[in-house]
Amino acid sequence: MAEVKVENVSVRFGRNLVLKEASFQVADGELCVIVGPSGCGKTVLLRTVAGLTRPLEGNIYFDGKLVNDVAPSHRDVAMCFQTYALYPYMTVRQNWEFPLRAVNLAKEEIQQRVAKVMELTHMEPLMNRYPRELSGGQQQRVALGRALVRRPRVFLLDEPFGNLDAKLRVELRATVKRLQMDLGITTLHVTHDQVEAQAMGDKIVVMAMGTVQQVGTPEEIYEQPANLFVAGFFGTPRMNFIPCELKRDGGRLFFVHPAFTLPVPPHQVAAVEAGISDTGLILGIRPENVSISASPQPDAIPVEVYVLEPQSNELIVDLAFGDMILKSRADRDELGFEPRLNQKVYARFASDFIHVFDRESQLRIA
Amino acid sequence: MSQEAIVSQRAGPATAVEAAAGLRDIWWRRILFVPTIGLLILLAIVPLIFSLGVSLFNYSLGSRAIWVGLRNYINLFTDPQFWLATRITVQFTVVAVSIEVVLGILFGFVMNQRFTGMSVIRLIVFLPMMLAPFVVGLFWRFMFDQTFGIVDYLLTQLGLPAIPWLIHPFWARVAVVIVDVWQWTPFVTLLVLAGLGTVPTDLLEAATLDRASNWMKFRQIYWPYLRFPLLLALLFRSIDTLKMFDLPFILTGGGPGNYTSTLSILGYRQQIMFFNVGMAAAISWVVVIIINIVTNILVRLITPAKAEQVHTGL
Ligand SMILES: Nc1ncnc2c1ncn2[C@@H]1O[C@H](COP(=O)(O)OP(=O)(O)OP(=O)(O)O)[C@@H](O)[C@H]1O
Ligand SMILES: [Mg+2]
Repeated sequence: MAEVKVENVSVRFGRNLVLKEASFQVADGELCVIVGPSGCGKTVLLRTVAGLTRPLEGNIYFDGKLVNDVAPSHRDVAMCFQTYALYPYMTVRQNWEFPLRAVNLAKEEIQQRVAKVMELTHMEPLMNRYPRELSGGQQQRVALGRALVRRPRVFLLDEPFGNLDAKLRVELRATVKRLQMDLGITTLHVTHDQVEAQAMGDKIVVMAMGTVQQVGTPEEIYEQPANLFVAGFFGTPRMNFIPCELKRDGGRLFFVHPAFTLPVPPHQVAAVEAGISDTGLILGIRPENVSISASPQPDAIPVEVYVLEPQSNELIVDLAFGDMILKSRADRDELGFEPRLNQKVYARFASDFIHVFDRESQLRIA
Repeated sequence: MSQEAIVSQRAGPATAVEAAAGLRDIWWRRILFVPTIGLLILLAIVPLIFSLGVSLFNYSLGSRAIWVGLRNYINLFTDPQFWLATRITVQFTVVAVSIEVVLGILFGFVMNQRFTGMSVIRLIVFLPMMLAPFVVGLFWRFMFDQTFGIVDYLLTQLGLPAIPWLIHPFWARVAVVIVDVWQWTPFVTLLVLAGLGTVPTDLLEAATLDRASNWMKFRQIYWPYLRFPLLLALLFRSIDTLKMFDLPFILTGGGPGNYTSTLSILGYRQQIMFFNVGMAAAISWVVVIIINIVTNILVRLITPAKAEQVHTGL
């Protein structure tokens, strides 16, 4: 068990700087999810923590002790490789026993651990198969299991559910989260799935293009995204972004768009005034914070129903205004009416959930 | 079902035209084999059968061949010279090849490391293998010389007794083994390096993070990828040493006495010195049989058990 600190870590391959001054800290026993699109440097970051990749600069600390020069085998981390890296000439059981035999664990203990992981990953009928005799998803569970049998200082899980079917993925998500909590082992969990990140993380590190975009709890990341990238990455459908200008009229501030004018919510006025530059801003509003009604409302924008996407008990409505599409999401029974295609309706933004970003720097203003 | 139908079925969706083309294709392929097979028969099988035939005759060059049946073989098996040569040949093979394999593995692992200057070291290490055995024999004979040789010079400098390398029955054999090891360890090293190159890095990384000991890594990670190259090395080296001729011939001339005379040297003497072609052919057939047995045993021993079969890409 250990607190992990990553400090200004940069990694270079040839001419490419694939990790740029990444910094974050994971408390002892915390489950930290590292999330970002493909190729953003998640695996590289994990390998650097494991010691398999040497950083160009920056430091890694375990429990406050610098481990830059500690060999990978002495860092006591268990890694689930994205490529699985299963030992091809060992059965599933032997693959799992390998790390335990390596440290001369007692026979009964080995059997117990393997049995436990076998149960968690539903591998009972496959224990004596060789990796090549397993499907991709089964191989992935073996890879995950080979990490979970250990009791290391840090778990490093690199997209451990990437190849599983939706049902198993959701199940294992909960299983791993619970196991991690019970064991209290610090975990870095990599995924490119924002839902998984939200579901599992005590803390989320959002990455893009080799840089850390934001570090925070799932709530912080969702409610106060640090920039346009983070705002757009979390949430389905993604946040609506509407380019606006700011206008002062008789002591009040307004967001101005060719199709509408909205007063800046009172609690945001100060921040907007302080943060605004003359490049304009982008107003962000999540689909679930856009409500629609059939009749005009104060501060509502007249729009037209463009596409209807029913989803179980919810309805996602694409609304056209000007040359833009605004997405709205609502419980069907809370809508109060049945929207039809091309119907003229009115969209209202929940004023407590308006996000304001600078158009140039893309950073959050309010 | 007609053959045409079978062909078209195998080729997937096929029209009659394509099926006919497929059939022509098969015949064409067979025809292409004819020169190869013809050449093989002419160059390999005919001499083989001829030598088998000769071994059943008392045939000296320049005289008439007389049918003696198995008499050559019987004479051979009752000749202590033959048994000595067999023993020496097997000794050379077992000792030299074992040392070459062990050293080859060691060198392979050392040279698999990456650091600057490695390419130069590799070149130097592989040099002996590139020399003609004749040259190797000559300069080692010089180095082993009791009066002028550098080996004994170094030994005496170290305060050790000089060794009568090429004239003592035991030390002469040691000398042959040393030179064979010197020349052919690089070959084993090369094959080990090739095998090491096929070990997937992520397996090594996984084993490292799993804190496997060096022995576990060698046995569980590297070994399956080394089995096949090592089998090749063992086969090539065993076959080569079982036929060993030029090295002892130049280094010691088969002496002292006959203590470095291999089967090949024995056969050579029969033919060249005693003009006994039939006997020489018989000896060469004994060598062929020994090699065959050894090869078969090796292949059985080292062919990966099903469980350990991995695709090595070799
Ligand atoms: N060994 C390497 N040599 C050169 N470039 C590399 C190497 N490993 C990774 N990269 C580059 O570093 C960048 C980040 O790679 P990384 O594997 O960390 O992505 P990732 O975030 O894990 O993506 P994914 O979700 O697809 O696994 C990529 O642009 C990749 O091309
Ligand atoms: Mg990756």
